[in-house]
Amino acid sequence: MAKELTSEQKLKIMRLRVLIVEDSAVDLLFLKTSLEKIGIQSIHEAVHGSDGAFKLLNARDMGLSFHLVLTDWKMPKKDGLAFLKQIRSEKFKTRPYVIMLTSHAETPAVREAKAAGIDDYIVKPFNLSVMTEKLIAALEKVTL
Amino acid sequence: MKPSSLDPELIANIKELQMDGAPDVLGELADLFLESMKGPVESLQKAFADKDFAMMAETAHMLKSGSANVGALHLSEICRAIEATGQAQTDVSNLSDLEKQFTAEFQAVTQELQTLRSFPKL
Repeated sequence: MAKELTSEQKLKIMRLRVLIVEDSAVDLLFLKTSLEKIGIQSIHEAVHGSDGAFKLLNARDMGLSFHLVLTDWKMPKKDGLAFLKQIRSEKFKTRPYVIMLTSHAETPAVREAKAAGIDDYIVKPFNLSVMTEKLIAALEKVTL
Repeated sequence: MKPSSLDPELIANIKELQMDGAPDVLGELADLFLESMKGPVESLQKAFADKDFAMMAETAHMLKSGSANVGALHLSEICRAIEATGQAQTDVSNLSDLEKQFTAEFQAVTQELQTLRSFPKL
């Protein structure tokens, strides 16, 4: 059973703008449905790192920066690490909270991702309770 | 009787996502899996035939994650083994066995998901 959110957390969750960067249609649907169930209303999608970086910049330019990015790691065109390095560069001028989606905990890829600037990671497959806890942790760090 | 290819705990996780009045989540995921995995499965079969290890690892990775998200844990574990073999390219003696395991398990998962779609309320 997923942890019950407080009223304040529910309000914050409703205001979060989230970008999912994921190339698998099945994983994307699972993620999106999980976020909707928790109460997130603004969910956007990108299919790889290049698409993700483009959408982050577009949103920033419109004054609607994303608060949170959930990103897969192994993707075509631009993978998670290249995407992260790009969005953590100084010239990017927007700093969303980034959660990496991975199949294993504490692998070299996770350590590399931590060094490159992820804020947290989720091991797949995950359940609603895990995602809820990760979002509660993210709420403490993002500015709404 | 052969145990189910769909892990009860993972299926429960999916059902937990269901919202009142929304489309059937499990059914949607099952449909999407059956539709979207056709290409990767063909690519994996070709990778086995061609001994294309890079393609093997790449497609097995995609199938691994998607399988777990429809509750097909055993299939996901087989894909994990194929991905590791494709990445390592060293111990390839078990490739034929992995291919057989994958084919049999993917067929079993497909049948169970199709049955589940035929009787969505059960």
